[in-house]
Amino acid sequence: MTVKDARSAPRWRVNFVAGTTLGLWLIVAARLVHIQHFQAEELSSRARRQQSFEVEVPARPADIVDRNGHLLATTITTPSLFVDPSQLDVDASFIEDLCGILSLDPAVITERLAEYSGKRFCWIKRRLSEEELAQIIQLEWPDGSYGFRQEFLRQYPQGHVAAHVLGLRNIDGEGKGGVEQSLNHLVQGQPGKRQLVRDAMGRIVEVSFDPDSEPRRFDAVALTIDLPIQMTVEKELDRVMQDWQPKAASAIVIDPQSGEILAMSSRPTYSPADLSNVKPEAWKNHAINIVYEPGSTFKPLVVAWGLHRGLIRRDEVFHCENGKWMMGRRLLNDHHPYGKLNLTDVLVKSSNIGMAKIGTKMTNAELFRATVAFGFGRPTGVDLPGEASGIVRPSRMWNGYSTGSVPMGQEIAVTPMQLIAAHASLANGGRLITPQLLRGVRGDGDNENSPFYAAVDEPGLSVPTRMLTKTVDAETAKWIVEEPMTEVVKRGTGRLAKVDGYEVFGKTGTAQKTDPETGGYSTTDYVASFVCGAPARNPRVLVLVVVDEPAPGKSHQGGIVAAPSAARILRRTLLHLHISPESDDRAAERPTENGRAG
Amino acid sequence: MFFRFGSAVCVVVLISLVGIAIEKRSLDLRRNLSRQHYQMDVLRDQHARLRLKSQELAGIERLFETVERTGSGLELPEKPPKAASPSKSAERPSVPLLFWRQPLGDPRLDERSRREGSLALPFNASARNSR
Repeated sequence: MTVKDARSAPRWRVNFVAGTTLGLWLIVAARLVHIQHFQAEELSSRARRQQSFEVEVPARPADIVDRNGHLLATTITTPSLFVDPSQLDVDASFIEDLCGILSLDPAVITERLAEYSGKRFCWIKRRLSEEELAQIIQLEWPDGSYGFRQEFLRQYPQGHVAAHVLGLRNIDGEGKGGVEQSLNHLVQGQPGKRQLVRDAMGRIVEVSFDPDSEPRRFDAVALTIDLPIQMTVEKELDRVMQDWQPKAASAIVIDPQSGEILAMSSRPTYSPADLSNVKPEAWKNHAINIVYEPGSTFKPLVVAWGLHRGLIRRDEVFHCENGKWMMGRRLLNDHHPYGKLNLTDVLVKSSNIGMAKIGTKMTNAELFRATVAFGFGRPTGVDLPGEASGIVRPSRMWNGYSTGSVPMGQEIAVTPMQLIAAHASLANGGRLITPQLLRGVRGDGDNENSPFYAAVDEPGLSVPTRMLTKTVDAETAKWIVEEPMTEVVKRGTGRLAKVDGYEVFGKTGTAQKTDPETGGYSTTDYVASFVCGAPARNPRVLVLVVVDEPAPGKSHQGGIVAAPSAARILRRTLLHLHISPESDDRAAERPTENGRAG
Repeated sequence: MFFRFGSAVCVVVLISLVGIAIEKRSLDLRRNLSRQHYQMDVLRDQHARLRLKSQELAGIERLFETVERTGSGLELPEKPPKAASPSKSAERPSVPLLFWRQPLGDPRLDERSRREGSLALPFNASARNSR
């Protein structure tokens, strides 16, 4: 080896090491460029998938409140227990502990766990109580073998009050019945989304909140119901059920000017807190679901239409044939024999013969028009599901019997809601208004840009009164209310409905039910009803009480069975609303801002 | 040469440390934000529970029972005197006929009077005696 060779050897090695290092660096750099540039999108999306995931956050259902903000329904969260069957050592003691705490059937749980044995998720019990939760935690099952998921639980703090109006939300949070179903679009809200970030161990390390993807909801949905009035109605219906032992009963209180329903109740009823032993009949809201022949409560509507159309006169006198009259081949009877009665007295005495004669003058065509004009034969459109349409046969099926039957409230079937809506049109000067339950909504915090922002107090945002049609002229409606219907309470069949200090108007109804065996009218089963309102000169409140089949042997007349309850409801409502007996007069006398009488 | 290399390394390390500190701070803030949102949910639920409890305790059914047991405090309206003529009717004192037996000077009543305008009068003794 020469000296030159000896010097060149280390240089070669240095070059080799440097070249190799550079090469390696270049490879690493190239790989980095490849990863960062060419694979960037794929790798970052894979990382995102592994690290973060999105969960849907259900919106807390809006509270339901009455017109004064009293809480009718609200939502709290409760834990629901689930297990991972693959992680559990399911033996007899486990099942025994579990079922002992949660009051479950061991056979059902054993079967369910066997069915889900190969799966990672199995519900055990949803909506645990606090005691159940504490006891389950004390069992100290292995981590990862069980868990709790927070779920919404609907609560009804007023118990059975307005149960049929409110309805229920089922275990999956869906509205069933009542406004929970019909106003579900307002109550339920829109679910949001949240981004969760987890570490390599799968633990949640971050929850990202994006204001734009948070759940959207109304804070509260306000109904027109007035809780103290509703409570009065509930108590009165309980009293009716106790005193007369009917099959069913219902009552509605409405503001005839606006169509707002102040109270509505039905018996039999149920309590949302205990649904284990509810009879099938109790689910039915009789105020909108049952149909019955209205009987004499229909008479003022027929008379109003006859006057409105100029077919009869206010001063007209009808001979009531001393209680018996052959109308064609049909014998008509009055409860008492009457001779000549003027139009007012035909209604005051509730003469069937007088009404049949009015029917003859009006003809079937006009009777049919009256029936349709007052909204019978179709749902009123109230904000409740399952409203019945009633029964109005096509006019071509009406015959000579109809001419006598319809004016006395037979041959048609109506719901209590239809009947009170029709009477409200008399009380408000001839406007047929859709009864309404929704008063307004209160919105999504202070975010005015949110589609869920609205305020009950803001003018224009509450639900406007919905008018369907004009029924009769205002003068006729006023006369019917202030004369015949007021006289009914003063000296007619509705004398038990007098309210001290107020001028009350009303009409009794006693309708025979059909006998399914004979197909004719029953002589034992009746529907007793009474509709009344006050003050007569400026009606502010209208009450209808319908009692279905008072117990045989007891009285069955509307003036005896339903009128006293209706009067008590009316009295308490007037007091509660601070409606003065002289409110009508004073309204006329009260000076306006300009100093003139308003 | 060595000094320049050392300075560069120091700068890189310093920038990394600052980056890590900022990242940690950012994570900390985000975690706080998550916790606050969670606490907000918990508080909202507590609010709902307390409101539910208060409404149950002050429920209308309980109040009704009390009212039925002790009396409502409402007095029946008296029949207004029949006006003989429109002029007499105009002179009639416009005193609403409903009033509660409440202690005079109750601030709640003053508040209520302000709200209800025309019903402001009945809540004092002089209006009651003037009828």
